[in-house]
Amino acid sequence: MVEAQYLARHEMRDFGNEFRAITNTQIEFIAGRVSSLNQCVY
Amino acid sequence: MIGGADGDGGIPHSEILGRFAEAAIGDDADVLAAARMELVGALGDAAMVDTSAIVATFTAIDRVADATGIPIDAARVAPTAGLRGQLGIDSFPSNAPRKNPRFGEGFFVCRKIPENQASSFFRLSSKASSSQPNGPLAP
Repeated sequence: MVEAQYLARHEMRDFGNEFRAITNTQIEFIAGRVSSLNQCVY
Repeated sequence: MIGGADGDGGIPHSEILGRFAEAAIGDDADVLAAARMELVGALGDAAMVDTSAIVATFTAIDRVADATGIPIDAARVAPTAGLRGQLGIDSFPSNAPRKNPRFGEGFFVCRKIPENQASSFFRLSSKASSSQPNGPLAP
């Protein structure tokens, strides 16, 4: 599910390419904001 | 994301993406519809779908953590003490002492709290952006 909705394992470490319609930076921004709203500090 | 920032903070369309993420987690269908249209207008349908998938993924992961009740790793408690205090994370209601039958007492990784208990958290999150106030989850 994570690979389908987020990034595959090798894609997470590939900062030279984009894999989605939004950039890696935008993905991590959204992930951080959602995690903060959910009070996830892991 | 805790702290202060204006505009997009150097990330293209982050203000729009943040609004959509907050609306997607919130419970106001009209706010979500407006945020969705704003996102589609700025970045297109595919970006809206991918953004929704990221919101869903990082909400699901939190729920897994909540359901299992896992505490923060013991080895990470001391090294993160200063940072947690600086960011105000120790003030989160999820830090209140409670006991998990499997893991015992401790600082828990995640816990989505009822809105009426969220005042300390939302005071922090409301500083995220002057143009991006509390959003639909604000008390």
